[in-house]
Order: sequence, then structure tokens, then C-alpha cells
Amino acid sequence: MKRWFLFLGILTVIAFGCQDDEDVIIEPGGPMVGDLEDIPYEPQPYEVQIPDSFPPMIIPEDNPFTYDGIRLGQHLFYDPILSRDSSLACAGCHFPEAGFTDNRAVSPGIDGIVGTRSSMSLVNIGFENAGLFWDGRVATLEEQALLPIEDPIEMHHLWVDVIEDLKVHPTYPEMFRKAFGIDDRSQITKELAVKAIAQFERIIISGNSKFDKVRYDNDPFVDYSSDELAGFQMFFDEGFGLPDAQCFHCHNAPLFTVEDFFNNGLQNAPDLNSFPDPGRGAVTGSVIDNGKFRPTTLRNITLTAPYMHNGSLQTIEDVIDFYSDDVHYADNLDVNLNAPLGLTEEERDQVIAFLETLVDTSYLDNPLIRNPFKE
Amino acid sequence: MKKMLFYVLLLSVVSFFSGCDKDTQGDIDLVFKARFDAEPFVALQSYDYYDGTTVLFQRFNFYIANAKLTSEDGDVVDLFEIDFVDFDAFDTDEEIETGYVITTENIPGGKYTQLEIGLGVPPELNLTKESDYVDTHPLGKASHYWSAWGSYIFTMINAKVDMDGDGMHDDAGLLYHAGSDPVYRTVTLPIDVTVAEESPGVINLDVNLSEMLKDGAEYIDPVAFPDTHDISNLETANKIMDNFKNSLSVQN
Repeated sequence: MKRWFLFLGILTVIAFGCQDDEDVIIEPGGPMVGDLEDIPYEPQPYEVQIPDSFPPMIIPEDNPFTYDGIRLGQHLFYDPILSRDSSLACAGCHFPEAGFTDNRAVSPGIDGIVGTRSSMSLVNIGFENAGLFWDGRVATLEEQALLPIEDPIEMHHLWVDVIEDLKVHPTYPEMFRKAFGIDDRSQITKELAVKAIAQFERIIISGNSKFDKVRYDNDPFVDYSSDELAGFQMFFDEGFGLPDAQCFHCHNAPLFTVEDFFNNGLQNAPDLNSFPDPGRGAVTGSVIDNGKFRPTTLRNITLTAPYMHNGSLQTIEDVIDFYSDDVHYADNLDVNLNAPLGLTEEERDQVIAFLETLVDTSYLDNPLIRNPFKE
Repeated sequence: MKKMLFYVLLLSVVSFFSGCDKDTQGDIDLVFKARFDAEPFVALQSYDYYDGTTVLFQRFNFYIANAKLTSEDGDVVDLFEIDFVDFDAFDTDEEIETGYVITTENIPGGKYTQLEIGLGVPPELNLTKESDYVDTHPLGKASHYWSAWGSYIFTMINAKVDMDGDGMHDDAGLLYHAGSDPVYRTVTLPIDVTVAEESPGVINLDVNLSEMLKDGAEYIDPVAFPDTHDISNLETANKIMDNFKNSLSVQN
């Protein structure tokens, strides 16, 4: 027994004695109880910068922002360690420069299987509380982050194995310690991992576009062109003799989305039970919700092609043409789309000119948002 | 001794009954049920409508505000400042039977004889906008704020009309979105409700959507007046809100 303690002591000295606090390496299979206690746990609150025009953000009481929590989430988000063969990270379907989508109609998982729905933008996702994913099937970012890891058409891993990988990783135990104050690596859990990812996702905020400068900041050096202004007026149905482009009902400012689900007429179905993808209806079990989906944010929309829940429209021009001419009728088709919009070519271009003013990727200036493995 | 026992008993009885009123608290439910004339309101169900046409409703929802009860003693009890009644998803027997329930907890026990509610968003709250609230708050609904009006949408009635009788409700869309301060209404309704600790009070409120769409004895012409999107012309919006006030009744 005494020999065992001696061995344990020597191992501890080997493990900790030669390392400084910034670079603790613990060998796989080493002791666990209290093995992280010597690493300082000094959480620094992170004050998220929310644009004045934005709504308040709900921050869970049990998951406040800290620099180390966000940093851990950032690393987990960009690290393919979360997938079974370590080939696919969250960022594999959410490129920061593409508004955190992946510019593919649907995304292949690690086994090459493609899903049926397009990767959703994560921009300003921290403000959305009416249900996440296209069908709103989960309520919080913490719940959302649990699912892709074990989805067989995405990362196809098991959380229990992910956690084992993280426990023996050279840097993650220390990062979990700094983020959440755990005493040893055995306390690393999937719940803490998704809390960190959720913290990271909540700071992806885009609210510094030309639209924001014109509309909210009254920046004297920025103004709309006549086309952008006409597009703005049609988007929000401001009148002035221009047609209603029917956009803002589902994509209202400042977030350019709303807390509801809509059938936008993309799917052609002879009745409410025949949509190829029932969307929200599969979650609620209500036939009147079949074919409805969450309206994605239009911030950075011109960076996120292709479009719609199934990525079936290749360009933003295709989207405007679709809403103008090709909407499929159903009893639950949103009434605002019941009649063709009838926009002229010039008016379509003007709406697109306005949409281009919603681009803002200044969040990439934040080193806590960029890919830390490319720094 | 017997006399003393009598007074103790009397005191206990008096304390018990007075406790039921002033010193106890209970909950009260406002139960909203919608109908289209004689039929219960069901989302996406077809109803007979204007001039031989049929209509189906996709959305029917509204804000209510500054709800107050008046007791038989004249005391006024505030229930809530703002809430949102939503029939959009009502398509099951259970939902129709239950109605849309708004519960206010811990109001003073006693008998109440009057309910006052505002229909829409009162001017002091209509000064705010949806981005002042998280999206789970009734006033945080981006789908119900119209920046061009600087107003919430007080009542939203979205419907489709089958004009040609082919069974497809694709001939006309109704977008009756009443908003802005001039269309806010208040209504006072007589009630007879008792609230006690173990027995929550229930006020059943009936709203006839068909009546909300009337212009005199007929329906508002769905072709001539399909929407209320012009803030400079509130005629239809005012009509709908006046109808709303008159179509609301207590069913206790």
C-alpha cells in the first residue's frame, strides 16, 4: 500500500512538478482525483457587446459568460475531436466567413451521408428563444449542441467517447478547469462541453451593417443609394407607391427573423399531410404546422447561399424570383404570400440591393470568434 | 363557562369567514374561447363567409392589457399589464374545449362584479418596441411589431377566401392587422365571480370572430378592403376594433 502511495506521489511530481500553470500536461491513464486543483480557477466575466437596437439576450443563470468558458467553447467548436473519426468540427458546417453556414445545399456527415436540411446561420443565434433548428425542436443552445455529436448523419460519435477523449487530451482538462472550476478531469462532462459551446455561440453577434449605420446609428457618412432605399421601403412595406415585398412579416428588424414558423410555399404538396419535409409539424404533431419552418435571419444573407431549409435555391436572385412567381399554395401557406408579389426586374434588384446592406462580418475581428487553430 | 365557550366559538366562526375574503388569496383564470357564429373557432377550418364565399383563418390573435377586477366592495385589483391571446394553433378538440387561459395568481379572495380589459397595446406600452424585450415576452414578438407604424399589431386576423367555390382558398387574402394608438379600446364587463384559496375564480370570455369582420349587417368587403396596412387610413382597423369590443362577452 505504501509503495502505491509512493508511486502515486512520484507520478504526481512528474505530472505537475515540471510544468508551469500555463502548460499542464497530464499523461493518459494518470491519477484523476484533484489532478487539476493546482491550476488557477479565476473566472473573468465577459461582457458581451449587444447593439443598442437589439433585444436583450437571455443568459442562463447557470451558464454566465467567462473568457475561459468562451475560449473553451471556441476550441471545441473548431476542433474535429467531437466527431468519431476526428474529421468534422462544428465549424465544418458553420464557416465563420459564410455567416456561419457552409455554402452547401445540405451538409455531408463523417460517413458521407448528407442530411435533408441546410446548415443554419449562427449569427445572432443567442437572441432566439422560440426554438432552434429549422423546426424549433430544441429550446436552448445548450440542448442544441448535444445533438449533432451523436447524429449518425453528422458527427456520428458518442458523447461518452468524446468525454474520454477530452479527459486524456493534453490541453482540454486545463481549459475545463479554467472555465468551470472542476477539480479533476473525471468531472469533465458533456453538459459542461455544451455550456462552453453555447457561450461561444452567444457572442457571435452581427449588428454593424450598413443598415444599422443608416437606420439606427444615423451615421452622417453613410447613406443609402436610391436603389437600396427603394428596396428598404419595399422590404418593410413603407408605402411611397412601391409594392409590398412581404419580407418583414417573417424577417423583421433588428434581427431579421421573427419568433414563429411559416409555410413559405417552397414545397409543393397536394394536402397538409403530404409535405416531403413536415418541418415544424413533426415536432408539434399538429397537421396545421406541417411544411412550416423557422425563418432564418437575413443578416449576412448574401454570404449564405444556397437558400431555404433544403438549400434548393442557388442564388439570392432565385429567392426573390421564387417569392415573386413560384410559391406553392397550401391552406397553411402564409397569407402574405397568397398572391404573386408581382415585382418588376428593377424592384427585385432593389430588394437585393437592400439585402446586401445587411452584411456585417466584423464579429471576425473578435479573436474569441475566429478559428483558434489558425491563429 | 357555557357563555365563554359560545363567544370563543363565535369568534372562531367570524375569523374563519372573514379570512375567506380579505385575508386569503386565490387565483383567477381568464378563459378566452373563440367562435365563428355558432361554430367553435378552428384554425384552417372553412366557414361560410361574404356573399356565398368561404373563408379559413390562419391567424387569430390579439393583445389584452391593463386587466382589472372590481370587487363588490368597490376595491380594484390589477391582474396584469399586458398579455397575448393566441388561437393560431387551435385545431384540436382539447384546445377548443379548454380555451386560451391566462391565470393570475394570488389575488385577494372575495366576490368580484366587474372586469375591465384593454383590447390591444395601451399607448404607454405602445411607445416601446419589440427589441426592448426578449422574444419570450408578449411584447417581444417581432412578428407583431410594425416599425413603419411605430406600433404593435393589436389584433392579427390572417385569412384566405375561396371566392370561386373551387375549394382552394387562394382567391383573396385577408390581412386585418389593427394597430396604432387610435384603435386601442377598453371594455368593461359585468361578472359574478368568487375567488377563494381552494377555489380559483374563472371568467369565461367569448369572442365571436365573425362579428369582428362585420360592416353593419354584412361582412367587410374582402375584395375592396382586404387589409389594414395603410396607417393613414384606419377606417377598417377602427371598425374591427369596435366590433371586437362588441363581440366580447362573459359566459359565466
